Amino acid sequence: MKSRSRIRKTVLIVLGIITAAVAAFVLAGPPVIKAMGIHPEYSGQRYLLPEGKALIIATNHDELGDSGRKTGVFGSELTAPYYEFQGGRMHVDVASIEGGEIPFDPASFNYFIRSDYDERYLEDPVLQNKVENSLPIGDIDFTGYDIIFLAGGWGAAYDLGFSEELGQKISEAYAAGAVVGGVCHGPLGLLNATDENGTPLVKGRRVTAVTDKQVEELNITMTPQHPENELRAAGAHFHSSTAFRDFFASHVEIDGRIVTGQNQNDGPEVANLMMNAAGGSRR
Amino acid sequence: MKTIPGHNTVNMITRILSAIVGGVLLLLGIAVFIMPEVISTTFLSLSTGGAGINSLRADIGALFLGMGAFALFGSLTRYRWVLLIPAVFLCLVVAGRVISMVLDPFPTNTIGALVMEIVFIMVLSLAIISHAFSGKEQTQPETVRAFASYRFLIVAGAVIVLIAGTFVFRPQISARVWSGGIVGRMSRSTIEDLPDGLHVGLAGTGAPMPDSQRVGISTFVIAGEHKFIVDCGPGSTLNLELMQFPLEETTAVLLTHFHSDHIGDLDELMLKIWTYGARTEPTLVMGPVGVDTVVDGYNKAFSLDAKYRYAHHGDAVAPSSGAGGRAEIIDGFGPDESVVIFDRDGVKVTAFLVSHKPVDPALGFRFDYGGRSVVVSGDTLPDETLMAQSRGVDILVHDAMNPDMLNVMTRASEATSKAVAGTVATDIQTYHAFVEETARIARDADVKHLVLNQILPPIPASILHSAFLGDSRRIFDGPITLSYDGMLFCMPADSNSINSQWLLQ
Repeated sequence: MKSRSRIRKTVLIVLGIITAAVAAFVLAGPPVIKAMGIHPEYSGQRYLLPEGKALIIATNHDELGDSGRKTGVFGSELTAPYYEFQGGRMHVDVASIEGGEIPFDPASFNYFIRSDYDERYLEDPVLQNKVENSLPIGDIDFTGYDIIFLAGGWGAAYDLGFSEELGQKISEAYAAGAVVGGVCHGPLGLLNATDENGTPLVKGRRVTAVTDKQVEELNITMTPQHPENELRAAGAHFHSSTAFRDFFASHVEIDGRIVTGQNQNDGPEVANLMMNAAGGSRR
Repeated sequence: MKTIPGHNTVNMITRILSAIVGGVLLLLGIAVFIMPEVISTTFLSLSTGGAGINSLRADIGALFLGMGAFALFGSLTRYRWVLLIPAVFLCLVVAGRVISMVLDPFPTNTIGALVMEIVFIMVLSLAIISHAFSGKEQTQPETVRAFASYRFLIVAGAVIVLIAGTFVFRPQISARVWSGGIVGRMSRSTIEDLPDGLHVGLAGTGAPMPDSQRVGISTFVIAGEHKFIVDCGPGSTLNLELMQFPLEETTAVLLTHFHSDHIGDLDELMLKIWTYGARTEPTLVMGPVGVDTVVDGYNKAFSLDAKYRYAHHGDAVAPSSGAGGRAEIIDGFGPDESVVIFDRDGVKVTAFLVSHKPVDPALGFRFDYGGRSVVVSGDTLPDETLMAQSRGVDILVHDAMNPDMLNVMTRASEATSKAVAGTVATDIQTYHAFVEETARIARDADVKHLVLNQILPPIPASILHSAFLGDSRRIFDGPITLSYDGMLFCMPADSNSINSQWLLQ
């Protein structure tokens, strides 16, 4: 009799400890991951470009090779610049190579890593609508924009760097004075663009993007283009930061009107530096 | 044989009541901990900066939590004497209130709180008495015996008599203490008694969206001998009168821009300035290009009214020559986008350009007097010129909106198919500053005290203050005041103090 009550007591204590551990994990998980470097809170200077227009371009590709694993744009690489540009009072359009629905990397909105911007997106029917009905780049005059932002994600490795049309349109926008750039796999979209003299846009320019190290670390090597590799091959001065996993690193490069960020952590900073480069004022 | 107070039922009832008192106090303590902003407003004190919130949470929060915890402990366990602890604290709270009532000219707001505290004390005392009579405890603990000692009872009695006496004779005492001054105070306006310095009053702090606590925007600035009224939104003239602002002494009315919520009361304001002082010169109205159109229009619309006033009251009240307004265009901005529009008797008023497109030009104003300074932003996005003008000022009065709250409104409007309201809530975000941006401006410009007006969206209850301010307090560690109509900030010349009062509560 006495031993049974003791067993019951032990079971209750163990259950209590397990519950507490799970609760601690769920509650402490997001801040711990944030502190490690994923989606750090942006506390730098913010900028204002009222009456300005920004275009965010993302991928249409939704599958990692023939592995059957889904991919697309990494959520915060689209949501963070969108809300930062909106905070800068800009008009923001969302486009993709073919138009229509932009797929999200399934990891984007994971409870432990999603950013504040992602949470806003999940409750914002306006942006959801823009993502589901993105504009095809062929229908857009890029010269009407002050800022062209290329969002990344593994899906971008399949179409941004292969689109001659995108390269052409970015060249036109750059010639018209726009600030161009992006984060993660997004800068692949700069590969086919040229400057006013017809030389490749990234040649001899300081840029950053996803590192080969990160590609190796995450073991997603089946994509057709790897940003560090491709940008170096195109003659860019590639710079980056490293961490014990590059997924946690943050790095931004500014070279005139080209602003790039290493990965999903840099969207807010790149967006604000682009507004600054476009002549924005402090806010 | 049990006595009535010692009866089981009485004992149980008093016990339950004290537990309720404990619960209420505990909840108040928790409320202070989680939302000191709200408590600071509900307790009728003005909101403060990070340090103020810190002490509010720590001191007031600890007081309430402590009282609540001991009251619950005393009523839920057999150690009923523990109820003495919250009871003693409540007595001290009552003493503080009574003293304030004697000294403070505006005591009526706290009557409710006082009554509640007295009820709490009675409940706790009854519980202790009832328990003592119930005979459940043969030997009283040391503490209770100590409280029952003659020496303590005599002192306590004296204190109670003193407090009660003060309370009963407070009219006589206050009359004696202030030697008739209080009567003079009531008849004189607070504004007339202000020391020499720079003073800012908020006669209207709302926006075009209906707000039951805020009328259209209007801010007055008293600088030494000169009195300026910046903007006159709908309903603000009445507030100026209620705050006993001496309208007849107005030096000039300054308009930041010509949105209806900034000029809609100009007719009433010009009439009152004219007739309060039987002025023979029209009111001087200064504003950006276009001010003549506005003033001429009002003059024309109210020319008939002016005739009736003269016909009825004559020169003693409404001399014809003083009716309406005289427009003066503010122009000639220097390379720093500012121009001094008034420089007399040590008072300097600077107008500067702000960003409120498509309203262009739109102005902000800076006032300097006696080593003190204030900037009134008008309606603007975060603006570099304003930031430069605000460098080191004592008070920055800035318009503020919370975009997240407006976005919720937009969605609600769409859900209820009020499309126009939703569009407005979205559109206005492109020409007003967000609340956190104002905090960054205050931080970067080294402003001493940030006052937010033109609150958008209207905040229906003070419980939403923290939500409205968002991360602002983390950005700017000076005091941030979320404005209400009737607030007055006094800055005596050549000092550092900023005293605030609330003239419309």
